[in-house]
Amino acid sequence: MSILECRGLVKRFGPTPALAGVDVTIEPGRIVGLLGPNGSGKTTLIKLANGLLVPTAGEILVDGKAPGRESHAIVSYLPERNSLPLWMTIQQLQDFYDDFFADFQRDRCEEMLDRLELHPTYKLKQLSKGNREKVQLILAMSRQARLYLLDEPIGGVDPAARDYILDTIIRNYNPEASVIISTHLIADVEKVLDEVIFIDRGQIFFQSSVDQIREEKGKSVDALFREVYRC
Amino acid sequence: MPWEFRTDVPIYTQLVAQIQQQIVTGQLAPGDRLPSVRDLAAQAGVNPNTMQRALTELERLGLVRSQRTAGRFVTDDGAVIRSLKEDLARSQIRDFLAGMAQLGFPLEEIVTLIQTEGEKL
Amino acid sequence: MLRKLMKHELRATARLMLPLYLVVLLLSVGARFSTAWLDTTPTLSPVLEKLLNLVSILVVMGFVVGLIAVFAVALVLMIQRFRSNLLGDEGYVMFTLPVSPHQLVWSKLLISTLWFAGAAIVDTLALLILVVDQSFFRNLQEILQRVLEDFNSYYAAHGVLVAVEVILLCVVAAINLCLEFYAPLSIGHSFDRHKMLLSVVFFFVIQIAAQMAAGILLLAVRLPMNAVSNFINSQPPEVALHAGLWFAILSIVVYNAVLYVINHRMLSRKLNLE
Repeated sequence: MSILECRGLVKRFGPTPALAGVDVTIEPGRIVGLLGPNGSGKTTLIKLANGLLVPTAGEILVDGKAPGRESHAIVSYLPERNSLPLWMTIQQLQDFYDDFFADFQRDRCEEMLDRLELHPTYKLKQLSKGNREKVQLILAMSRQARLYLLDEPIGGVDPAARDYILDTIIRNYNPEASVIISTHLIADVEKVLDEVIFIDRGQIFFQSSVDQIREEKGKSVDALFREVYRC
Repeated sequence: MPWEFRTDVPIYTQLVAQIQQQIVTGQLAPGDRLPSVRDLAAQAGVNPNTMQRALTELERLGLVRSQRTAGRFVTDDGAVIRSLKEDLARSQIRDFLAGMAQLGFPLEEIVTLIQTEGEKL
Repeated sequence: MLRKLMKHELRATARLMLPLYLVVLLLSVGARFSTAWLDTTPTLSPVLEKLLNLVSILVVMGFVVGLIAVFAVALVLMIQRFRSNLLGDEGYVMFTLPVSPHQLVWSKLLISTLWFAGAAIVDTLALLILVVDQSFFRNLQEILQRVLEDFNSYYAAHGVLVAVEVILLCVVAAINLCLEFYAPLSIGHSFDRHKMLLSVVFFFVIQIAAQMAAGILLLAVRLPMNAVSNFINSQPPEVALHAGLWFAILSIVVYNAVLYVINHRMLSRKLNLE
C-alpha cells in the first residue's frame, strides 16, 4: 500500500486555491523531492499531510488513513521554521520526543547531538539559528518513522550545513521508509533523490524518477526544472 | 576519494563507472570488504537506493560478490579484474581513435605517432 | 498520553508560577515585619528611620500587588499557553503529536485550573502569614472545630457537603474562564488573516450571545422557574442553599459544554496554522 496518497486534493485560502486538484501517490522506500518555486503549494501539501490544515475538497491519506493521531505516530515532520519551544533545553526536548514517540531512538539522537557538541544543558534560546535547525532535524531524523516530511530543510543554509543535513538524512534513512523533501534548490538535493514531483501553482504536472529524466532527456533534473519554469 | 558527477548521465551508471575505476586502479584491492550501502551512499552523497542499484549492477558484472552475513567484497578473481581493465582500455582507445579520425589521421600514422611519443616518455 | 501532556504543560508553566508563588509568600513575610516595624516607636536616627519606613511601605505595597499578580499571571499564562503553544508556531509540534485535540485541550484546562487553585491557596497562606500570631496556632484546633460546628449547625450537618459544592463550583468556573478564552481564540485563528483581532471580536460576540441566550432561556422558563423557586423557597434554608449551588454548577457545566464543542470543532475541522 502507498504511504501517501492524494485524490483530487483541493485547498483554498479565501478565493485563491493553494492546491487545485492534486493526485499523487508515493510508495514506501523512496526519497522524493517535492520541487517547485516559492508559493507553488509545497508547504500546503505537507501541512495537509500532517493534519495542520483541513482539505477544502478531495482527500489525503497517510498509510491509508486520514491524518490524525494514528498517522502522527508514523510520520516525522520537520516544519519549515523552528516550532520547538525556545525555553526548553536539549535534554528536555529529548524527554519530550521520548515521551510521545514510541519510535524515537534516544541513543542515536544523543550521539548526533554529541558529535556537534550540542550539550544537553543548552537551551534552544541560546543556540544560533543554524544550530536550532540542526537540533530540530536531528530530533526528526532520530525517529524510526515510516514517512518523513521535511519542509525546506536546506532553505537558507550555508553549503557545509547543507551537506550535513543531506548526510544526516541519508545516514538515518531506512529502506522501508519514505522521505519527502520539499525545496526550490534542486541542484543541491538532486543526488539524494529517487524521484521528483514538480508542482506549480497548486498543480502537479510531472512525476518521474531522477535516473529516468537523465536517461531520457540527457540532462539533470535541475536543468529540466529551469527549462520548465522559465515560461 | 572525491565523488564527482556529471549532470547529463544517470547517477547509478556514474557510480558503477567510478567504482570500476577504483577497482582497476587498485584503490579497492581484490578481496576488500566494501562499506555498507548506507555508508557508501553517505560518502558519495547519493541516494542509498541508487547506490544499491549500482552495487547490484557490479554484482551482475562479477566485480563484487555479496556474502549474506559478512557484507560485500571486491572480487578476488584476477581474470575478471583483468578483463575489466582491458574493457576500459579498449573503450579509451576507441574514444582516442575516434578523435584522431576526426583530425584526419589514418591508423598507420597514428601508430608511428604513438611510438615516437612513447619513446619520449 | 493525557498524563504526559499534562506533565509537559506543568513543566512549561511551573517555571513561571512556582517562583511567583514563592515571591508572594516571601513578600508576605516581609510585609509582616514591615507592618510590625511601622508600629514601633522611632529609636533610630530620623534619616534611617525615614528610609526604613519607605522600604516597609514599598514591601507592603509589593505584597498587595503580589496578591493580585498571582491571579493575573495565571490568567495571562492560561491565555498565552493556548495561543502560542497550540495556535502559534509551537502548534506545528503539538498538533503533530500522536494525541487527540481533546487531550491537548484537557491538558491545558486542567493545568490552568491547577494554577488558579494554587493562586487561591497561596493568597490564603500569604494573608495568614501576615496576620496570624502564636495564639492562632495554639488555638488552631479549636478554631477549626468551631468553624466546622458553626457551619454544621447553620446548614444542618451539611457543612462538608457545602464545602464540596463550593469547591466544585470554583473548578467548573475556572474551566469556564479558560473556555471563554479558548473558544474565541480557536475561531479567530481559523481565519487566514487578522487572527488576533477576530479572536477579540469573537470573545465579545460569545459574551453577548451567552448573555442573550441566558436571558431568553430565563424568559422561556419563567413560569416553571417561578414554580421551582416557590418550591425552593418553601423548603428549609439548607435545602435551598444546596439547590442553588447545584443549579449554578449545572448551568455553568452546560455553558462549558457548548464552549467546549465549539472549540473542539474549530481545532479538529478548521485548524489553519500559518
